[in-house]
Amino acid sequence: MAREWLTDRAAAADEDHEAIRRVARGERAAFRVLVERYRAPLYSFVLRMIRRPADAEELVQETFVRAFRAAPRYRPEASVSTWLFHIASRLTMNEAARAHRRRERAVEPPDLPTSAPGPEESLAQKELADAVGAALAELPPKQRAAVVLSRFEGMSYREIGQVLDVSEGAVDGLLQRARRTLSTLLRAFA
Amino acid sequence: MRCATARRMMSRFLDDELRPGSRAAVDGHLAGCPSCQAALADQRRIWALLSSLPPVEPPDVLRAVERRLAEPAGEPAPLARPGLGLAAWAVAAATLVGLLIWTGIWAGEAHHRASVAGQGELAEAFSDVPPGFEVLALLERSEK
Repeated sequence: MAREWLTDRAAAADEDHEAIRRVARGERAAFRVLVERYRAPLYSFVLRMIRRPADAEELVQETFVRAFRAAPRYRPEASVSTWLFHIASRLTMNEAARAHRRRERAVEPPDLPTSAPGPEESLAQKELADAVGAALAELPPKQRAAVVLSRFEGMSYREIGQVLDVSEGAVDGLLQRARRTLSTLLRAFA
Repeated sequence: MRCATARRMMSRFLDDELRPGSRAAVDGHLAGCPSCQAALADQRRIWALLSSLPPVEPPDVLRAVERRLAEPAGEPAPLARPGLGLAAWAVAAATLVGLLIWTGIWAGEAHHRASVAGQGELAEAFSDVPPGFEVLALLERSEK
């Protein structure tokens, strides 16, 4: 199973490298493939960082615009996926830091799950999701980014380090501190 | 292995980021330490709680991205709110550079005072001024 997953990731990385080479030559079709492939994970990352859907959408658009323009300068030292998240992270981090300082809260929570639970279950689920979302928002932006990239994007410490421009040891520290904080904030639900 | 060491390695342990030898050492410690077992279980529960966040439905950004790519490349301001965008900062910076030159030529008295103050004192004198705004502050103070 793990081997299959690794093979899939390696194959996807090869496809991405080929796509970005074509994007660098100005091929819009290859660019559309990358946008379709990464719009969901990038939007998920940015939205969980800043919690404002309209701003998250704008930042994702900007990420792709910058990626298209920077494609000729792309060097395959990191995966295309990591590179895109790096661009998104740089765009998002300042905004997240400002919001964190203001202790700003989301106007609306992200979309609800696609499944349709009963009213009681739905209420409990929403309460839990709100509490988890609020606890995540309490984390300093870098810790939050490390949690989101690890938990939701399944990135390794090495990949998270590349996205956030920090060492693997620093990623370890960010996640340790984040876990401690989340443990305190979510004790009532654990 | 001591509990403190095991706790430090717990994040990597949970995320499967430990080398086999270290992983075996943590496993060995956990087998005989109920307290660390409880801490690990707690961490696992917290991590599992994150799954309660609803999935996110991504918007279709392709059309908007292509529209933006068709526009001439400039320095974009991703989020105009809150605070100034990058373009506004660029204009402000250019204005300040102009002011700096003007100050160097015409504001002799103020410039002289700044020079004799010495760099350390100058930095201290303007420690409450945002970077790039020292010249405005200098002019303001010289008028007093």
